[in-house]
Amino acid sequence: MIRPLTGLMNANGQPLSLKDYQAGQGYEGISKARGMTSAEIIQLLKDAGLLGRGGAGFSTGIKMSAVPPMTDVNQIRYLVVNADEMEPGTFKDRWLLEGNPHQLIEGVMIGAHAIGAKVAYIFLRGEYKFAEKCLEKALREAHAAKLINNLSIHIHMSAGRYICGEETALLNALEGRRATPRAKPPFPQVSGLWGKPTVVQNVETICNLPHIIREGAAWFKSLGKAIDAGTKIYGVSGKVKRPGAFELPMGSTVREILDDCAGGLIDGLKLKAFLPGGASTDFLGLDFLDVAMDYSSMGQKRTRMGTGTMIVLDDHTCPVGMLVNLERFFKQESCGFCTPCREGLSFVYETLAAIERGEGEEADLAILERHARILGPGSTFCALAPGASAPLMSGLKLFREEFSEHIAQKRCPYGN
Amino acid sequence: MATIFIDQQPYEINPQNNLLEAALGVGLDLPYFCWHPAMGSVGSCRQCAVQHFQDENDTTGRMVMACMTPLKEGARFSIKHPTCTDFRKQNIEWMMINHPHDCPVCDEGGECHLQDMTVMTGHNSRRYRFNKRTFRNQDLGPKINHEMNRCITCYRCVRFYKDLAGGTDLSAFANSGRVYFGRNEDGPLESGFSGNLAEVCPTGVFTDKVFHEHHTRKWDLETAPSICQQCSVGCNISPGARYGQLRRIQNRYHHEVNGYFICDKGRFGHEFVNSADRLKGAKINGKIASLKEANEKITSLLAQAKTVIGIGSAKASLEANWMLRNWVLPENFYDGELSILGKIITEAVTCLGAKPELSASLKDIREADAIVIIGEDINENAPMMALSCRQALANFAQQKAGAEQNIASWNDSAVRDYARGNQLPLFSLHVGATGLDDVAQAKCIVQPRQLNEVVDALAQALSGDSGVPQFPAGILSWINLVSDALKHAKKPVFITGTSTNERRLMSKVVHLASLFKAKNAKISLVVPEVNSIGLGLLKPKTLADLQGPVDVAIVLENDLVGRFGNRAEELFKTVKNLIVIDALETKTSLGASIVVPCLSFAESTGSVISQEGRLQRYFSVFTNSLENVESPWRMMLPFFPHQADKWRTNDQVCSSIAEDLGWPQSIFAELFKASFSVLGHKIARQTSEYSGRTAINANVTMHEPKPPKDPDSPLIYSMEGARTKIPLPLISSSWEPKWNSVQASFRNSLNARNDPQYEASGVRIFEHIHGKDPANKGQL
Repeated sequence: MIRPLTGLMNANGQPLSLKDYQAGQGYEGISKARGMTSAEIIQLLKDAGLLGRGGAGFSTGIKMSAVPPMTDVNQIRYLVVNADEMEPGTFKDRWLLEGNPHQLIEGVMIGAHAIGAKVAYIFLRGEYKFAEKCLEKALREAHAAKLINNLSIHIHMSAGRYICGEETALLNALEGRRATPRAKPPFPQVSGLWGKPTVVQNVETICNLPHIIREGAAWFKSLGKAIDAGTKIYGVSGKVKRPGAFELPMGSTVREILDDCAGGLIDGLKLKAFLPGGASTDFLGLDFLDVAMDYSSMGQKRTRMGTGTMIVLDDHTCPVGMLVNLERFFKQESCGFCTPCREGLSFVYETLAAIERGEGEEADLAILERHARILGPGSTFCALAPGASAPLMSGLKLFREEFSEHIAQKRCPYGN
Repeated sequence: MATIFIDQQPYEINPQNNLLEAALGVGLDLPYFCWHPAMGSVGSCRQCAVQHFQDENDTTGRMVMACMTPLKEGARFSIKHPTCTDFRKQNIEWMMINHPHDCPVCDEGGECHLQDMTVMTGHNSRRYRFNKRTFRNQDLGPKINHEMNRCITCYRCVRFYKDLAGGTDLSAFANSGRVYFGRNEDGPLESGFSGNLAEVCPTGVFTDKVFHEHHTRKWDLETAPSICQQCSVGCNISPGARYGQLRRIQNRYHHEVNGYFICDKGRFGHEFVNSADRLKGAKINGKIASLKEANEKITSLLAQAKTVIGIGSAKASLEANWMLRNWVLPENFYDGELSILGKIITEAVTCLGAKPELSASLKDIREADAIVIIGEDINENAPMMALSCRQALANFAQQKAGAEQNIASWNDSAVRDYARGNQLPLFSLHVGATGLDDVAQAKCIVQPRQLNEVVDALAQALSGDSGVPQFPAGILSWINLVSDALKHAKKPVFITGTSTNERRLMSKVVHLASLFKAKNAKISLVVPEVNSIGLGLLKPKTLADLQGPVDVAIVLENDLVGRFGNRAEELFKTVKNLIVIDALETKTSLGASIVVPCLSFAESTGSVISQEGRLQRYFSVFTNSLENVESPWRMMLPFFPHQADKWRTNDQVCSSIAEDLGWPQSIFAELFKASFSVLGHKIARQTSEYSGRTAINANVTMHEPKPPKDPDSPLIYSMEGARTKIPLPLISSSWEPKWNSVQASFRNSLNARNDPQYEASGVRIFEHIHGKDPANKGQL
């Protein structure tokens, strides 16, 4: 199995050294990219079908092509790496940051070259202290080896907030201001960091760049099993035998990831449902076990893969309790900018918590359903509340019986 | 103009507006919170949701926020669609989750935008059964009261205080449902514009603390259009009174002067009207006397006197100053200045008279693309001019964002995000720090004596003269920066003023502007008082030049001892008999032989001329219970026995002023005369809900007294009078069906802004005199 992103990594978890990275064709991608024009690189990314790995699955090539063409070499552009990995259940970027920091740095160099950026920022989750050390060391090594020309790469440790994963809130935070999202349009490619054209990309997306440049679009496409191209770092957490992250061909099925890689559920437990890619995706039931996990296949099923790092719900865990926990997170992480998210998620959380405590009322379900519907896309300023409504809406459908039991019995049947 | 459809009805709208502005402008009701006409849209409150349709066959549509929606010809929207009406109702429910349910006893109740919007959306029953969040309030000093539990988190306060007014001590803290708007710690708000928070806040988080001291409901206030008396800018204000007390002052929209805001001096500096130091009757040698006795005494003093002088006041109305000048004769009329200031004011009047078209309104300043401030700290001496400079920064950013990226001017945060670091070329040259230094691209601090030289050098640099004299490097680089920046400017404004006592500065600055003839450069000359220019137009002699002893000096509303201390006391030693006409007991009146009381600006009608040269009129807001005390000019009437019939009203006095000074009569005709009426009705000062009218005097008499007469204004002290179709300049209490807060006036102001033909109130007097009748030019 080809694992371009993680295949080289040390088994002991220590970051790959510059020497080892270079031994595995490291920094050959950037050498090749330097011989290509901006347009050629972007076209290659489009041809390869690289989709943003942060969860939205938007074409990286198209995103980059929205940057206005350079009319003057002194024009300022920024490349920003979104390494603020705070989606619950998601730890794929951490693996890449800690395991092979040079791969990210090479990716940054290629991305910056593609859009004409001379400055790049890596916006790192505040808790990722070890990743910071790895990156700093790798940067020092790359500088010492004179691998980086005409580009300054800055590592910025986030002060910490889930909303910083939203690219425009990230830009505000990077500017030293409140991390609230920005109005779009204008998009960051036109008016981003300090008002200049900026492209924000997820760590995993950037890490794919050296390999695509080196091996070409056809190779990258051939890696996918279903519709979308490349490999994907999937993750499994919850009560499974071997929780963790695994690089597999894009489009591997849920069953392959869950059973073959994570070893299935702990003995005695049964799978009840799962969130396919972080907290802001729908709860899916057993009928999704053989669906290919890629953006397009999941989209065809009217759901989202998200980050591809699933959280498993077993039959001994209270689904209402899990929803309470999820919605507490979303409520707490709402930036407080727009009303529906700020107040609506509080309403949702308080209602769910009351049901879990055994203080639920019949009318509560209608209130929750109304919120799940009305907090959807269009009514809020950014995607946080729509994300929060995904598990709520699907959970209300999938766990209807459990909700009714909580309300009827005035207690949590799971003993919480 | 473009045509859009809202609920199938076609409307002609300005395509530069967003949908919310357009809908409000055409008279539709659409609830909103975070949008503000002077601050644009950010899309945070989500209240103005409407349905947007692709074409006429689309009946489902897509929900959008009106304030964030640009307009295109033929676009179709619905305000009444069930999806968006349901959402708007839900949004209010969310806002009300934590809001106190105490409207009937809340001090904001009755003029609360949140209350209006809640009623408008139809939300009326509570489903949230959990605890409300509570905050600790802060002591924000003497001006603003803080009640955070009422907050609905619209972000308007910080957008005004920080983004627009440049304040640094109010911020949004925390996130989620705990967002807190306040200071880092308790303490007085530092900005001189903090009072606007009371109007900007859509509910009662920030309220007027001075008003709190003697609070009354909005509908119980008598109001009239007035002009702020605190500086020379002439901001339009709306004072409100109750039971013979002035209770508060709010902003009154003026298109070309203050727009939507006023400064804290203007809002809070009014308590002197209610002061215990008000003169309640005449005094002779410090003893209370009847007005008749005092007037007889004055008559006899004047009969014996050989030398009589009148000392006017830049704080008194044109009418009062002119009456005094008439009384003592023009050659004996003095300006009340013991410094060089009198001569500088004369200089200012000469400059404005010579080039009236150069004088910038605050709107011109807001729209300027370069500003140079020379020898003046306008943040102190003309605060709203400083705020206008800050608005110019925002406008400049809008122009840039629009021109380069087609970002709509109302898209406030997008404009700010894009144009960050791209500052308006604003420069200051002064003898010390100024309140605009934080936004100046370059500031230059010089010795007072160097001011003129640097301005001369700048003029040389601007006219391409290579012989710029040698200065220290800092000054030279400032001159180069300014002259470079001005080369690209199409609408620069040069601001200067009187505060450095540099007499030649005014004409030098006018010269600077005249170098830009083709580019539409303007000037703004800051003078100290509300009517400095009006007094200057009466050509008084300056008191500094007074020679020799005087038998009688009549001082009009001018506390010379308070202002000049010993120097005034020395002067008065040469005055045998001092007569003071004033509303307040002052250090000057305490030393006077005879004191005659008069009414303050809040109880009388008068005209003043702002530093722009704009003649404006303030109208009496309420009647005082003081017997026989009248407006200042009427207190002098007894000494004009032959003119008693000629001068029954303010309008008649103004007509004589025009005649006397050789001004065209049309000047005053353009202000609202007392004879103005709406469909035959005078305009009511009281609201239709005004309470206590019959009860308040019931212990004295059961009969309701007739409303006091007011021959000077088109207003009436009554609930009965015109309420609709009132011209914008005469509206002092904003109200519309369903709209009870100050935001009821936004519709009118939006229409004024969208109407290129709209003429703002007041008369640009210098242009008027010259434009209408060039033969009069010599008169000035």
